[in-house]
Amino acid sequence: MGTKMGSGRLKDQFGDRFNQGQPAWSGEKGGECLIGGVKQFGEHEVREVSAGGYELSKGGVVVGSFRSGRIDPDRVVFPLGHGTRLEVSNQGTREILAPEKAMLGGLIASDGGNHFYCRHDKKTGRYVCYYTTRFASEDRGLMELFDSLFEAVYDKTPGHYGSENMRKGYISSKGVFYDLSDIDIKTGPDEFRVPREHLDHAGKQAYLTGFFSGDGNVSVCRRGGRVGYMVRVYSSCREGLEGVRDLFLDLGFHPHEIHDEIRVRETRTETYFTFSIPTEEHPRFIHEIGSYNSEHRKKFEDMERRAGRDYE
Amino acid sequence: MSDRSTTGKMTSHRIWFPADLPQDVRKRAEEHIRRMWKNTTKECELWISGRDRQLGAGFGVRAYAVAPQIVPSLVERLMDLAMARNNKIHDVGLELHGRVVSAGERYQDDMQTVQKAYDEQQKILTERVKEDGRVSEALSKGAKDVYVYAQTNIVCELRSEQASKIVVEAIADYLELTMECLDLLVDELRRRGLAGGVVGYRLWRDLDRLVIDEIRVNDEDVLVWLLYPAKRVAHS
Repeated sequence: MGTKMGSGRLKDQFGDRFNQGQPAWSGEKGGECLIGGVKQFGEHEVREVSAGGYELSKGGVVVGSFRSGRIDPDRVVFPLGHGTRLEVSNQGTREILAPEKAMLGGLIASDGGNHFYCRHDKKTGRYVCYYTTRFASEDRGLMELFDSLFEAVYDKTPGHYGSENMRKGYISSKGVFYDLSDIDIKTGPDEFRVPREHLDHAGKQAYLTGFFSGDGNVSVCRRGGRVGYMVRVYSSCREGLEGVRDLFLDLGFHPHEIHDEIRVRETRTETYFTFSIPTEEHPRFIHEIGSYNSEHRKKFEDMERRAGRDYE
Repeated sequence: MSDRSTTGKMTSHRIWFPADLPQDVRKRAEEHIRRMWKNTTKECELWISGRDRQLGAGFGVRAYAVAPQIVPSLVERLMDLAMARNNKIHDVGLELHGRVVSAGERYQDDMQTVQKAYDEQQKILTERVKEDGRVSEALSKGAKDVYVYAQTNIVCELRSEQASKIVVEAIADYLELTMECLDLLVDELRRRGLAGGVVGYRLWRDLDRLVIDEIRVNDEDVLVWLLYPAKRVAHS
């Protein structure tokens, strides 16, 4: 996957990123063919059918048919709709999130919400429920990204409102609410769970990009003429942050341990949690994870400019 | 709104989360004050926690009010201020106290005292990190200097005609960056008429708890970052 440091509109870069080298779900196959029209994964078998598309069978019984699919060396992936895919491999089958949906999940986990509330309507005597999935940001680029991802996954355009310094994008849909609730994208106002079991390599990268865009931080440490950078992820949700750190470990990064950022108060001490990415992994982080947040992108550009000079 | 803790003398509510709009904060403050302010309530503490994305520094603003009617407009004005510069806001909350807690919030050192305490802290930490095997090895191989970046909390007390007291805190990896973040907030509070003069500062630290987060060894020097270790939490 290429870098996100290129120029151009964020929306276009998002399109470039997700379409890069990826076959469209139009019946076009990926890099591999099924040898003899059949591929075996443990007790599952994927067979190309003469009318087009694929059949998935388990123990000789057809359990699914698909108009399109992507054949990778170690797996076959079928689209299921709403940014969800079925992965068939030697480990069995599992539902995985398309990168667009994974990134949307990361954005919502950091700066969004997915909730409902019900009220009793005295006139009708019935309960009326409202479902909302939302994202708020002061960064126009991030709001554009949220819209693009939502359109790509759910084919719905979020509504907007807010002020000059912060916009909110929202969708009121019971279907979307339950779809995202099923994977525990946001379990409370500032609690989240990383759907690690539904993320493949590309999904993990995309989730981290979305999350870092909201809750990532790049700080500059100056000492004389020398400049060093710290790339950190913050959250008030310790358990969620552990999940984020696990994704970095899965991708072969070596994030430091989680630490406390203590805030001083007379009545009690308030804590946020954080971990950092080691300096030697910053170039890889910028290219493989990166961020759509404009402040982060400026700093990444500085970091790349300084690379090979005084940037340690 | 969510309860953080509730006792007979104190109620604490978060009234704003990252997915909310800034204008939600006033309405929720009004509602909370209307429902929760009792005859026994002596003071309201409101807080905003955030991060200055340009500097990469954390911050907190706390204001104390003894009159319930000023709380909604105060929280709205502070929110507006905290959101400037594309800052990330983590949360906003209100806490009602059965005593005047602001009297205990005293940060009255001058900057010379803070600088002296910081220099002393840096000396202690530098000597301590030199005992780390990776640092001592780098020094034995020719690195000349050790630079320490430790989580640095500076708390500043401000006079205010709007509130009983305003306290601002900034958190970054070293004093200059922390002060840059703090000064921006203090200047803005004064420019908007929310705060008057600075009463004083304090460098908050707990040196014994700081641990090494990262070590970078260059040809000439060794850079060491120190943070507070996370307390273990029981997972349900």
